[in-house]
Amino acid sequence: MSTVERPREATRARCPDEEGYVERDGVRVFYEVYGSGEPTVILLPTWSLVHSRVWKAQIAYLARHYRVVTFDGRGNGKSDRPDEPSAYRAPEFAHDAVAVMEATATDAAVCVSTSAGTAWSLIMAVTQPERVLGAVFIGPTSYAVTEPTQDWMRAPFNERLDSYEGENRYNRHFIREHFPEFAQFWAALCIPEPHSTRPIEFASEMAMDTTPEVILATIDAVHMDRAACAAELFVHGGQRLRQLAVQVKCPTLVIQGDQDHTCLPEWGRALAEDAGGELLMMSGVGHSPHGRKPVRVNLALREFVERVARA
Amino acid sequence: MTAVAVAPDRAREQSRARYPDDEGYVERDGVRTFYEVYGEGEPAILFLPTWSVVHSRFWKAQIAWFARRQRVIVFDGRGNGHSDRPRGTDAYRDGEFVADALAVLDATGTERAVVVGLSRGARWALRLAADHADRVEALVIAGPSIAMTRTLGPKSVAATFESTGRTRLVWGAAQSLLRLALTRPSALVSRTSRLSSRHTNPFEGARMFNRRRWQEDYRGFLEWFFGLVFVEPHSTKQIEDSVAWGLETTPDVLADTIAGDLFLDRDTALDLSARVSCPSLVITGGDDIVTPPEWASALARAIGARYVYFDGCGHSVAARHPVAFNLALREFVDSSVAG
Repeated sequence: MSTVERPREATRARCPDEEGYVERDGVRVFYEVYGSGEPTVILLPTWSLVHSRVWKAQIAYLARHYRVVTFDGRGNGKSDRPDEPSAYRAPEFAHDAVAVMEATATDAAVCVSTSAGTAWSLIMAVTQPERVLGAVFIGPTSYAVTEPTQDWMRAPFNERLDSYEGENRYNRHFIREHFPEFAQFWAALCIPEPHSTRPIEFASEMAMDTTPEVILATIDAVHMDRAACAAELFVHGGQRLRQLAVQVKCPTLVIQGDQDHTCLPEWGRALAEDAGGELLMMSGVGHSPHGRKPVRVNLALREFVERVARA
Repeated sequence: MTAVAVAPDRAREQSRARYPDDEGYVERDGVRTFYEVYGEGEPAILFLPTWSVVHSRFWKAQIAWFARRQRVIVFDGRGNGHSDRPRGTDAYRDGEFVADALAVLDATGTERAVVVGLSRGARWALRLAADHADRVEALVIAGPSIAMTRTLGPKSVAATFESTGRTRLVWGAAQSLLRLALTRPSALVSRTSRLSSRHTNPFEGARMFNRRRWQEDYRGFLEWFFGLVFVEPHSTKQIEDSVAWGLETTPDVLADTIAGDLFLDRDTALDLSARVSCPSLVITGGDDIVTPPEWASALARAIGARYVYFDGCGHSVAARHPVAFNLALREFVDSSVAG
């Protein structure tokens, strides 16, 4: 287990007003706090292939109006990188989020999640409803409530292949042996819009802050070692998340790109229906609306937070 | 001037940060030039056109921001955009663009303006400031197409523009390389040369700046040229925009625009510079391989202008680094011109 110093970015629109660590079971998680408005918005981590800078286009804007808390999910950024797959199960991230809220004296917050973060956010909204004022889900990949048709989810994950092409690069051996290429493939899959060279480069850089061993541990947290392909596990996980979503009482908003190759657009639509929330379907947008269309997403977040705060 | 083709309708952009408050045409000798006016407030800023390979939308990252506080005037240079496309090289001499600019100032009731010229537009800005000082509040020049030092460029490229044979092309390029080696050997190993030897390679330049080449593969030329303008990484959008604007005119019209002279010569520039009396600013990108920073710094010295050098930027600081460009321009206007 080790902590890696993050290389300094060229510039930041805003630096944190407060930062620190919480520790649970010997795992340290790094958090940042920006601004002082009401209410607090917590920007949750997603898959540990990236870290909290995935929210860099949201933080400075939201912090002008609200208090913003974010943290590096275990496995990347300035947080620790435990070795055991069990350390990366969904409840661990949810418990980290609650620990960060306690450490920053945040009684309740609007939770914003993306992709894999869907699960942590749903767990929080159902098990600790008093802490969640509202929940925003962006491209909820974990919410696999129909048969996955994405090629990467059907790729043979544990099988060693003669060559790795296209979405067959979502493969244990490719990840272990060609990690930089995997990171670039994954970033390009998530960000299919034209003129995305910088977001793709940035996502790949964040991946280089962690290791293939950590990434495989996060994948094996859902017992991928026993499955033929991701689709099997995602369908199972999606059904369990659906049982949570129907119990959500707080206001919700789903932001979904209609060109998302990672999370099927109908999964986003289903989550909005199941949670009784709103759906913002963005045309021509992939898996990273917050990274690629930040103005539109930030305005939607602001409108949602204002509505929740007034209620 | 023989024939005047009327401008086609410009393809509608997906979105614009701001639409003009006023628009119209001026006409001189049967050639119509399209202008737009945005916002209000003094001093007015006139953003000049540049080489007619693009039109006034190349200022799109400036217009909305400056128009929040002051009147902004832009116009499509003859040969592109909503303006007409006269034929013949005489229609594209410096004097025509300068006269168009004055006509636009008159038509918009603008007595004086801060005049901003980029690349080829720098020549017209310099002439306006030198010869029409009463209309120019302040002068801003960026990436000037003014050959202030002996370096690769004007004559070598112009000499082979009409070439049809490979031998002559190669001979013309070899001559310019030899001249460079004799007059400015350091340029052969300069940082910008290393940065993009493909683009500064005179053989490549002579091959691409060629009428027949344009007629055979105009888009290929545009993609090559704007790759040279935008050397920064992550410039795909700026290149895509510029190539699309380039396709709004034709290789024959564009050939007319450069047959005169590709760059303004040093002696003319020194004469004009000596007559500039208004506050002046010259901006350059440190990695500009179209108009090298040495040209900008020499021009700034000749004018006695303030000089701002942006490290790591190419030929169009305005399009590729608009925040830095806009702040530098506003700071200059605020500090040197009484509002």
